[in-house]
Amino acid sequence: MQTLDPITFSVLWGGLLSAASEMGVTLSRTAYSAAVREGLDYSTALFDADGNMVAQGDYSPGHLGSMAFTVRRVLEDYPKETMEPGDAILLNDSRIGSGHQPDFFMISPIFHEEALIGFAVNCAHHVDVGGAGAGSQVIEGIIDSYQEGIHFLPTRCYRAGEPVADIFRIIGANVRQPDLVIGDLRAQVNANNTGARRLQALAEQYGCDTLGAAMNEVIVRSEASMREAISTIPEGVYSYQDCMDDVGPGTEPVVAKVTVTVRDGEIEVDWEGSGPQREAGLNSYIHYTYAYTIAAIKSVTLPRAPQNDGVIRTIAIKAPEGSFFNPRPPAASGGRATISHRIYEVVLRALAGAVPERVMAANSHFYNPNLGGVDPRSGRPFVCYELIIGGIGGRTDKDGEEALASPWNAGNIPVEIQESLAPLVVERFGTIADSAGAGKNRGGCGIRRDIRVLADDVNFYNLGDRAVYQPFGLIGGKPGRLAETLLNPGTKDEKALHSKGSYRLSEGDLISWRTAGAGGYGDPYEREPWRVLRDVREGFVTIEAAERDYGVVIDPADMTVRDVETAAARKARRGDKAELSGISQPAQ
Amino acid sequence: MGRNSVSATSPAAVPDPVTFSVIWGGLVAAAAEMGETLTRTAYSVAVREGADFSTGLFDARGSMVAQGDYSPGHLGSMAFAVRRMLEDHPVESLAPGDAVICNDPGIGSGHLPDVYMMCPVFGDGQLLGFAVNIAHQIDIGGSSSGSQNIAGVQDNYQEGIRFLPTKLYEAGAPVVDVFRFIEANVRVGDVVGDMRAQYNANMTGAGRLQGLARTYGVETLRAAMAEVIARSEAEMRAAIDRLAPGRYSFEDYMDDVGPDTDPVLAKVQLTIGEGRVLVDWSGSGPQRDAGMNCYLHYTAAYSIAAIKSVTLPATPQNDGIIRTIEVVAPDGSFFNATRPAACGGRAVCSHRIYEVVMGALSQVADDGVIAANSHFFNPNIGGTDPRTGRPFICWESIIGGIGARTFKDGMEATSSPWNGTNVPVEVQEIRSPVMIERIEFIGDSAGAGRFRGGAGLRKDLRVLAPGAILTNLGDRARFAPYGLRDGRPGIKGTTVLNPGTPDERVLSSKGTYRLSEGDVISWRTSGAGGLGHPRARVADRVLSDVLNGIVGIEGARRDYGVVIDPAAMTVDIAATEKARAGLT
Repeated sequence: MQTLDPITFSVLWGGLLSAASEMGVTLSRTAYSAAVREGLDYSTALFDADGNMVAQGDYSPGHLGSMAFTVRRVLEDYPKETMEPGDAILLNDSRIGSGHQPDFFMISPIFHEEALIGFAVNCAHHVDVGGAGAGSQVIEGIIDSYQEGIHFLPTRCYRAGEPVADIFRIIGANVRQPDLVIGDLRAQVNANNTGARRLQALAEQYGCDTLGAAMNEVIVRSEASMREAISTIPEGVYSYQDCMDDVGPGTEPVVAKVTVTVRDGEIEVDWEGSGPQREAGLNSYIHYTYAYTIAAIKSVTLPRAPQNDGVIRTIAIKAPEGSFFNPRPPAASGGRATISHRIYEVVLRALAGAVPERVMAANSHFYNPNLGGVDPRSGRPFVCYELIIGGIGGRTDKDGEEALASPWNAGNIPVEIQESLAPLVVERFGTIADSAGAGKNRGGCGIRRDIRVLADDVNFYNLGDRAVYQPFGLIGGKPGRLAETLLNPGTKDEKALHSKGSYRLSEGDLISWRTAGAGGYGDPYEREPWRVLRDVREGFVTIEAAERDYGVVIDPADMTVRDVETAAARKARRGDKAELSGISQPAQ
Repeated sequence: MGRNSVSATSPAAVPDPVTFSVIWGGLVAAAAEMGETLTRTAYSVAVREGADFSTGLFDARGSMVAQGDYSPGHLGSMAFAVRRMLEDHPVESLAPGDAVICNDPGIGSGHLPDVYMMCPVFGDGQLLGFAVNIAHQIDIGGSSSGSQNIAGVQDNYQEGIRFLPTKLYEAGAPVVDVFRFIEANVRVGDVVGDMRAQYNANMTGAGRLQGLARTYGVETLRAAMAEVIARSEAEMRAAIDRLAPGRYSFEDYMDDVGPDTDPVLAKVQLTIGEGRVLVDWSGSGPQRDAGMNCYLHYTAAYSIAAIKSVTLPATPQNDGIIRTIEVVAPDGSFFNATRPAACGGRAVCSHRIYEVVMGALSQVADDGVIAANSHFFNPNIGGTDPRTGRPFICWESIIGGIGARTFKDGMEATSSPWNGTNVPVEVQEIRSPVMIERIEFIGDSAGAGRFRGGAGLRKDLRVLAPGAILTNLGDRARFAPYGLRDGRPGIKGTTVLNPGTPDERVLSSKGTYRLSEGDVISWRTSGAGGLGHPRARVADRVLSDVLNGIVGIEGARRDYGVVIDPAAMTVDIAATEKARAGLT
């Protein structure tokens, strides 16, 4: 292996990263569905010729963290000698891929002058893959993966640049929105073509050997940096336990228990002690567990460095077979996205025992419901994929932010997009006052979104959590408020809906999602009164809560802080809050 | 309105009568041999034991020439399915050894488990025709084991994988990616084995057709095939012309489309005349949000079966017969559902389609008609076999009796409009963790009549696995099978969980239930309808029924006015005469 001068190496590494990110732009610009175009529910990467992950775009950890394992498995089924230019392999097997069937991986070999120089890989969430409900993420009443739509083991879908017509015909016949799904699959091929062109250009300019050496060097250096970063974490065994609310109406919680061992520059994460696999569309196949575990560890070690095989190989993850975090097929898993936050948070919270200053409090969680029915405007079926994303947890140096997903890159779907694609009106979209966990740095507020349905007989598959177990606070920060979903709030038909229930809606029904608030960080009585006042002015905190939660007394007439009363209130109450120092206890 | 009419083909030069007979016999035998191959090489209980498949040979233009004697739901839709498959895969695009599959409910036979396979047959470089078969796959994925769930199913996407016409074999080699896809999406490996058996069956048919071409020449074979169709059509027209022209209507109901749902009105009007029958289902109920709608091919299939039963029962079915019958139903109605209507459990409608058409025919045909059947149960039980740790699917068929005929009683444990059979006890028990505790006739269940209906059948099955799921599938729990010409209806059917225990509970005929280890499910089909007034039944035959346990002593007196001396087990003639005089 030749050695590289630092400048060439930097240029090549930068080239690889920008290629991965340009793949993402191609994908989002040429995709058809709102999930990919607006929800950014996809990821991209480049791999070396041996199937090692070299560079990823900054997209979804659930995809990114499983990709390295997925590609390795695909190369077992399709050894690289059998690959030809213009081939593409697709798969959506939950165990081989990222844990549920809507996620389709697309893997394309890249050749330069007849030599295999690497692979372009991406994964995108498809709006529907058939099965029990529109959107293929139903939880309630689902007992196996056969109910969750079509299932592809690694399958060649492009041969020498030509689509394999039968495969696309099968996909088109089995999904509720074939135009969107086929369109997005083509966009996935486009994205890989973009990545291939960029990698070929690098090979052309610098030579295959130099490129290969640089790819190897990226991995070697990343591993070294990662080991160095891990060595800054005090060695020891750290554990934490939290719960998912349930796996559908009338079901028991899921225990999420993790033990993190830091030793010799490596980290071992063990999910032993967590709950068993469940009969609901909500299990976390091991790749998914890997993915968010890795994301959490990387957040406290090398948050800025791009992820690749060198980073990943320093982390060993295990979970008992047959457990919720490593289920056996055919476990159902359509709604598994809702587990992502809990995996991430529990690992992070365990590491708070070692490096509390690098860790944030629990997030708001999010809703990812699907609505499906027939659009009366067109007479055609529609699938409305929604994302309602609350706030992120309070941090050591800052408040949590609103309407941002913490462990991933997804975004709230723009109102105008939803309304033009599906028969509905978004009537309200705002932050929820007093929902954030109080703290020296408060959590992000919860988000409320109200949608009125303008079609009859609409199937609604809800998907959320934190309606039973609050997002935890850290270092004396308070937990956030619980989430809820209401049907027709403020009318005589008002009804609380379950976070994971399936419902049939009538025309004119209004669903109101209110995410939980994120947890706060640090003692709320240490929050500067002017920041509390600003929160009151901006509607994040009410005057009553300012006094109750922060001991800050605000004059409602001129909206100023009453300093004397505030000082008195804070002094009086601080005496009662001795237990706030140190790390808060697990939510039970 | 959907239509299923078939365009005409023109006959070529006709071979001499002896050659013609030999070739026709050869074609029918080839279709039957295809069925034997399929049965003998299949893996699943549904195909091997339940005989839930059909076979046919088609000419080079895609017209159906000969079929094996199998399931009408398949046979009646085959002609239409092949035509549509050839539109997607024209003859020019097909090579020897190719196979095209399709399970689209609208193109095929009305639900996803039924997979058609069509293979072109070549001889001396010329297309001779097509070997075609269809088999009910024991699972095709989707919402439940067996893919025939009714309750809670709202669209076809929930019911499993769907193939528009797609090549499964190319030039004799399997298309690996398509097989791989199938394997990934069905719960049991039997499906792949059965698809290979389907290919074997078609290769058998191809070999026989090639043999006929070698022996008699391609031109003679082609002419004979055209002649088969032409003669069948002429014969069918003549048979229809023996019925008085006119309009004949009949209606009945399906109980419901799942627990707590409304009945489905099944209403038909036949217009008979000029050698043709128009079957119009207008006025029937609308398509429903449940897995049991009938796509038009299925409605056509059982409508044709009923008409053929009364007109030309003994002649093999082909395009010539089918083209005399036109079946229509309003788009979006229960009997002509529009995509993506759910249809997994549509087999439960077959009897009603057949019987309602039969009811209309009973007004114009003296002979050949029968009263309503017992109906049947076709439940699936799925779960994990504790003996192996692997998934199992127990596909059951519990088949009651057939309706009384104009000259004879109905038979027991025989299905009327189709060829399905009761699955043998030993086969079920070997393949699934179940124990059959009872299979027997139900006394006093048959509709009384001069000729009584077949008795209902009871089957009790104990489940020996925890957490199994029962997807029930039956009917006639609310609307009894009708009798004809003063014959009485049969008793209604029921499904009982854990009978005779404190946990006893009646289950819906179309519900989905979670079972516990040790649970007993007791299916009791309805009894079939009788024909003719019970008073007219020969008293000794009633006695014979009593001795055989089909009728009780009390039932004999109540239903037939036949008084039997319980001590001597003889007919009390004087008391019988008196009782019969009072029987209304």
